[in-house]
Amino acid sequence: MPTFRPLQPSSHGVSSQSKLVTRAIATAATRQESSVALFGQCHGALGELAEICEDCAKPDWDGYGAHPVANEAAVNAESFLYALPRSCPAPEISPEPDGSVALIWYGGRRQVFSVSFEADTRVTYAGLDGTSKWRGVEIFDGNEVPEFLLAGINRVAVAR
Amino acid sequence: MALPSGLPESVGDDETLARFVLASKHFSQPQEGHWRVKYPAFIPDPHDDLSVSRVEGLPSDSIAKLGRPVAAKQRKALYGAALVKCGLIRRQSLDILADEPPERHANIVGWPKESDRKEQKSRRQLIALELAESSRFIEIDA
Repeated sequence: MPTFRPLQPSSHGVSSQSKLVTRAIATAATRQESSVALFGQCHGALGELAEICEDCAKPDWDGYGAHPVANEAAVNAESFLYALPRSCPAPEISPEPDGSVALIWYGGRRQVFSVSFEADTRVTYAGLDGTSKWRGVEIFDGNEVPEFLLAGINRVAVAR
Repeated sequence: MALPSGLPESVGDDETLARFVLASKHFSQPQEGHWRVKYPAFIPDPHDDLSVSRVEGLPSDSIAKLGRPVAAKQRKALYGAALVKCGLIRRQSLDILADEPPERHANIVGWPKESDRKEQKSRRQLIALELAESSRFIEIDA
């Protein structure tokens, strides 16, 4: 599996999948030039994402038989970070044992919202806010953050 | 009926379970004095059940002693344990079944299954969030 390198689009793979990843990473690299000025609070999350891809590239990274983190899942999570408004608080990032990548926003006690990315455009989300809880599946096209997901982030993270 | 560990086969609601954390990205550094467990530590995939240990009444060093062989077998570091009460797990429509050996081992069973994999995933994600938010992390070898 190719290693996730946001600033070094060096893959020479020829499969359609690897072309897709290479193109996405190249796009990310272009965006990176102005990211410090434009990317807001989430800039630091990119480094953490790359670290996760490296640490979790092999099976069983969690000691319980986890699947390797999928490069495409990381690319989707990265696109989501870039698509967030500048004012959006930075999430914590975590690998999931099925090979997906989770972005997690925390607020106060029992205030948490998470979005999970796999290789496709269907993202799953879940949130807690006191006694309220919600979950579901949304489409993220790689460019625009669905309003429902932004509302979930703002509901828990702005309250911090 | 008592198990080899001496514990009853039936797992009580007031018992505490430990999920050993072997991945550094499954917990956060202390914030305002306490550690935070991230919800993926409670996702059972790729298995049907979540492997835990029954640790009610055990001091931290005994919990560590239970976890070290788990980590050593997988050649991983043992960063800590996420502790959660059985009653809270059952409130998520899950159950806990004793599963010895090894001593004190149990499984959290009954995770939602759906024909739509993403729907199933989001249901499990919400449950794992609940468990993580209600858990307490104890640092071991981090």
